[in-house]
Amino acid sequence: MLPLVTEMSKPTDLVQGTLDLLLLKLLALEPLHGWAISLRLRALSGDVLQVSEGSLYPALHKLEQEGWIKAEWKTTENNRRAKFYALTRLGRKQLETEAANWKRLSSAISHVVQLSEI
Amino acid sequence: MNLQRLLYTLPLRLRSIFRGAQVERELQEELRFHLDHRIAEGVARGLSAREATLAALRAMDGLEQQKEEMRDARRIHWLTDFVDDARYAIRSLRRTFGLAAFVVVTLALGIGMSAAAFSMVDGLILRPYPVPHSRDLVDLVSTARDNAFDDFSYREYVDIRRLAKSYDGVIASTDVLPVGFRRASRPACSSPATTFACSASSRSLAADFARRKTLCPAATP
Repeated sequence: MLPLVTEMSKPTDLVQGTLDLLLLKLLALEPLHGWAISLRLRALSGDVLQVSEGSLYPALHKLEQEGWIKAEWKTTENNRRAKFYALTRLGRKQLETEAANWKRLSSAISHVVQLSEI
Repeated sequence: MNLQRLLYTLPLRLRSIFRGAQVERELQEELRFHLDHRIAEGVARGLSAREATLAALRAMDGLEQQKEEMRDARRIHWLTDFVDDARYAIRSLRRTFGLAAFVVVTLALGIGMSAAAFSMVDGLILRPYPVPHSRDLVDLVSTARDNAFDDFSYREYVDIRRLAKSYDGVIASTDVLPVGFRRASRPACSSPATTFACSASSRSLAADFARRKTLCPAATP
């Protein structure tokens, strides 16, 4: 049996809060439904990042309950009803905060990793 | 929680509470939508429909756990749990109706009796007398060799009232007891059972006693 997808890092393996940041960023580009989010994340990261459904939907619902994203049922191009998520004004502020945190954290980690060995 | 956030989250909470069935249907529909696309993707990769379905279900491992996590995100679990517990309790009580009724009546009687006893203690002991500066009120008792809490005679009361300088006023009270088959129509003033010393602000009580004394002049020895 062919593996459908290559299981990469689950969000629990990622730095805490990374999934929220990625979802907020993707939804800042355009409103998407859950399936499109998982495809878009895979495509934009060159198949490096993939979020399992077991984490994606609970994370989306959590973001919605925080008021950072809002959901709306729309019809897709295949004429099926799907739940589209879009960023709210609160979510945009949260994205800025989380992006700044991530930038600080990643540059600190890069700095440590790139230290030359004695 | 600031107002802006409340604007987004309050409708969601209310919808989860009052339109829970629809929210639940939408949750199922959303996951079904994803599962169908997973299956279609598997078929496009060359899997049979059955293999693609199994692979998709495997990929969406722990579907029920996911649903539970999504329900948790609504943050109304405390309410739904409470309603479920209440329903369960009502069902259980209906199964053993006789026992439930007995327990309820016993509890009601117990609570009622306790409340009545406490009301009495509260009214008679815990609450202060209905006079201004009631904390200055003291209760005088006669102490003898064989009785530490005896009453005063009327003469003793009169002497105390006349001679005592430490009090702003002294009044006395006595039980009103029915005699024979007739109820006493006037308060008996001749033998004050208890004597109260009161502050100046309690003079109304003293005046009341004086008025009562004039009602029964014969009581004065």
